[in-house]
Amino acid sequence: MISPGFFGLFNAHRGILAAQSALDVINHNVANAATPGYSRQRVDLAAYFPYQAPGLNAPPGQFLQMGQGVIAEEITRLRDSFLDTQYRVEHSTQGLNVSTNQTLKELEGILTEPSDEGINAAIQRFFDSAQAMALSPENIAARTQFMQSAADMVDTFKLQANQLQSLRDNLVGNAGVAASIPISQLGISVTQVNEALQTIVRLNQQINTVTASGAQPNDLLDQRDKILDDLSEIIDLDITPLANNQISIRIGGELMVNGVTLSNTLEVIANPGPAPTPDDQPTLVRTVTGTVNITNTIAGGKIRSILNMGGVSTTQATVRGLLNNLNSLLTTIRDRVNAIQTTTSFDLNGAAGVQPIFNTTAGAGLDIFRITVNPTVSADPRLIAAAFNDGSGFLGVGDNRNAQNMVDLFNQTFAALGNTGFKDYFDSVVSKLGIDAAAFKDRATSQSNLVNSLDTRREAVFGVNVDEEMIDMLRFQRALEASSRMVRVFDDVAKTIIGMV
Amino acid sequence: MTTQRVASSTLHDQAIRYLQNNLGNLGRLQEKVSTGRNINRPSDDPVGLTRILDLKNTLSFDDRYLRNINQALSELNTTDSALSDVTNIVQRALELANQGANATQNDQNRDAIAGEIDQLINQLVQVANTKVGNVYVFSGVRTSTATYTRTGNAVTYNGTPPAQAWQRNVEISSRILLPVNVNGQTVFGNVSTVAGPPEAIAAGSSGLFETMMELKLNLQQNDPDQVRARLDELQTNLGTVLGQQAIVGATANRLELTMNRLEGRKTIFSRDYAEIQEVDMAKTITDLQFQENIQQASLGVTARVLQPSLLNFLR
Repeated sequence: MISPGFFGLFNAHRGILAAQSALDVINHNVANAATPGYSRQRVDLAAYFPYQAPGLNAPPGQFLQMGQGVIAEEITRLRDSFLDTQYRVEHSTQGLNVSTNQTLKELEGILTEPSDEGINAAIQRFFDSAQAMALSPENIAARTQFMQSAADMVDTFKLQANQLQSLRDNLVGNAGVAASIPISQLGISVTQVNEALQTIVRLNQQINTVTASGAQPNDLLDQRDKILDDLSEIIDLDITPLANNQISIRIGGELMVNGVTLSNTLEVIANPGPAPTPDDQPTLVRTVTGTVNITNTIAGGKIRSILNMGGVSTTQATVRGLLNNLNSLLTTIRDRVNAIQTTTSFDLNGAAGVQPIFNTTAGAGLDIFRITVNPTVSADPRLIAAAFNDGSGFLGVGDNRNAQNMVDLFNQTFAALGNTGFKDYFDSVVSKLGIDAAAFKDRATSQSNLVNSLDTRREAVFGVNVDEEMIDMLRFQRALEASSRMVRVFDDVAKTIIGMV
Repeated sequence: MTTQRVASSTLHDQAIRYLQNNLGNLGRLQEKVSTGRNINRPSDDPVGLTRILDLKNTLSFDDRYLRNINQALSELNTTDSALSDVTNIVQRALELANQGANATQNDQNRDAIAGEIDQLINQLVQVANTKVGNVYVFSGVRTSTATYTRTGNAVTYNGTPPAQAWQRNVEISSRILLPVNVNGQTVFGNVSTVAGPPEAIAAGSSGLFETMMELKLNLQQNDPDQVRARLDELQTNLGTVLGQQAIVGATANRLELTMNRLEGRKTIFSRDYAEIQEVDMAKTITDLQFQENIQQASLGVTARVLQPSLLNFLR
């Protein structure tokens, strides 16, 4: 067997180089041990192609296969794309549940039930003071108290309605004020999605270039995976792999990213009507290649939750739904009390009752924001019609039959409130909210647990374990030392031979 | 079987999650202890919530009914004592009428008796105008109007006529309305006269006042036979007064029964409310301490688990 004189030195050199690159990768892993979304990398080592040494004893035409040491073939990242897909699907559901849970908690905070400051207590006080007035209709103090509790009830409704309205504006913006939409949670989330899509297109370009050149764009892939992980919390994604490690993304069934092309972007528009009112439900669309409404095709993520809570739903308590409920309740109280007040009735002066208890100022939007107590009656509570006109004329100041009719409203049911009474209607609204909030609290918790366990499983594959890296470090440190030692040996051998001459 | 790899960050993330969970549990228990309430928001117990909202409403309406009943009772008591006064006056009038009917009495004596009857009529007007607070109890719904005014020998009723629909009703429990006033017209009637001589009672007069006024005129006109006829009428009037007093007593009984029922219900409902809404302090504080121990333990475990690394041993 004959090998070239410096064969061994080259061999050792390759060993040193391989160990060095392995150490570099370990260094990179350890440095990124705490980087979110980083997948650990590994040097794929392989034996270098063998030197075909002509052997003295070998049959003619045959060569000895002399190993030429090691080569670092590739640096790969350890990642399980199946777990990634699972993680993102569940992460979308988590985004939906957690965000819904938060909004429902805020709704519970706004309604402040059970307490003495909520709507239930305010309605109670209103009818209690109506009772007091029915007991002493000639008593001006009782009448003043009645008007005050009416004002207090309206204030309580309005306070909560305003809080609900601003929560809704915060979620989906106010269709009547164009500038409010981009700064709403919906607008901000949509901007985040659009920016992420742009970044993904840019990453696709780089990944494409690197992959086409035959290398592994590990860190770029990590970056893109991290963006997809984060994005899946905001909106549910449909990801398809393309050639050269590129991907395409569909949102709500619409193609958004196709490899290196940004096909579409998302946009929030107020209702397409000529003059959107504050009551309109903003719509999520994808634009660029024609406007397509995808509000109803989005299935998961925070954006789904925002769209749900900003709109009305028959199955779930929502901000807008609650606002409508309070509006129905207060307008029904207003209509019924006013009707009794101004029909076949007498005020304390013996004149026919003409002044309503509640006024509604003209304007757009829900009535609840425009209902006030009638200032004329507040100023002169003698105008409250507590006496009833049964055709015999005004009987006397002690006639409480009309006031008693008002009191009795509390026991009645109304078609406008789904054939329930004031109290039962409100209680069922609160209880529905409570049931939904409890359910979403559970769902958010269990979904978070699921996502966490998936994340732990993913981390088991791609997460850096510093101890493991330390052991690898020792291994390659020793390998490098051994290869260096081989250099010394071959140097000595060469020296010996040279010294002989 | 291969052991599952554990990434370094997994330990950190888990430690943070567990600590957060424990803190969340601690927070919930702390909220319960410091508010003393089980249900602080609807989602704490949606079913219990509707129950306590119901109980709260019922309790607060029952309070209102109790206040209504108390006011009605004080009015009925006043009415009752006024009717007792009326009975005394009528009995005095009966004595005087007996004296006046006696054939031995002379003209002057009968005039003196007539004078006393006149005073009794004034007393009756005063009793009929009894007030509770600002309310004339015998005026029906004309509560601010004095029930009777006397002008000479005419005594006029100013309240509402005694039809059932014109009674003052008080709600004593949900949708149960009870009339609490005795109508003045029923008890006292009214009287007007036509000028004489001899002065006579006009048509349309009725009741106690008519009898009393007629008695006075009979005495003044020195007519013992007619005076004797008044004796029977006074007995009838007395019967009417006693009958009204019996109704007042029965109404008061019914109010007291309702009051007892409401008080009993209040005790039960308050207890139900407390059972749902009030925190079992002993249990919650024990839970809180247990949770505190868990928190301490998990802090300790976290500190130990996160410390060691192979690096510590590579020296």
